[in-house]
Amino acid sequence: MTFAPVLRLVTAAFAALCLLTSALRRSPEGDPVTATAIASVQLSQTPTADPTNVACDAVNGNITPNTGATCFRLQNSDTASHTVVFTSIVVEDSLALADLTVTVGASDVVWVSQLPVDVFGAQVSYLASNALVKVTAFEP
Amino acid sequence: MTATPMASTQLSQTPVSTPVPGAVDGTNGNVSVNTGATVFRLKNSDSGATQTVTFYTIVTEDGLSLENLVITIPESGDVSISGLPVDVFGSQVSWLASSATYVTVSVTEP
Repeated sequence: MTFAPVLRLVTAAFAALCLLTSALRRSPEGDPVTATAIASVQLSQTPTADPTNVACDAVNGNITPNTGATCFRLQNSDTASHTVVFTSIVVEDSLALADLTVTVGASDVVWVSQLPVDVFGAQVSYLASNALVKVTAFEP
Repeated sequence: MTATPMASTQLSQTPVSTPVPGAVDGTNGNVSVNTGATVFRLKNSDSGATQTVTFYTIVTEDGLSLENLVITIPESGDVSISGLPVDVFGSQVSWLASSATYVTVSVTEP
């Protein structure tokens, strides 16, 4: 008879674990919350040495703080061009605003900025099409 | 002396190539648009000595001038700075590199 409470406890624990796993897998917006965080480099009047670009997570995507003035330096070390898709967060009448797709040519380095916070969020999510794309985020 | 203007590269959602640091005016200095978020990339190709870039403040109080901001670039260094308030440095900031031979600069507007 003492088996039943233990079974209930195990069942409840299992259910809680399932809920937690589900919550961790998806945000309310459906975005992967496992995106790899890449911090931005804060510039100031104190000189900052040129940072090394960080490889993008081409599976789970990346997420970086965004102020709207954040500058993204995208480097493609592949011999083929790749893309980086910045996810917009705007939905109107259940319709999603198109994402911003930036193409980085083979062995090229490009810069983008001016991603409005109300369109891309204070934490912008982005997904590179290949891990050979590297990124540095600068905060001026 | 008339400082030589150095234009900034405006960044946007349209990708642009990395701005290439250009030659500076080591005699008359340079002047650039400054929004406070303007990024200055300072390069020193001298492997034997540090170089400097001096950013001039525009603030005076009781006839006294606020000291200028002197940035030292390490030997063979490549550094970036930002955060020059417009009320301290002006919307057109003047700056002077210690060497036109070794120092190159690019200016970027995010």
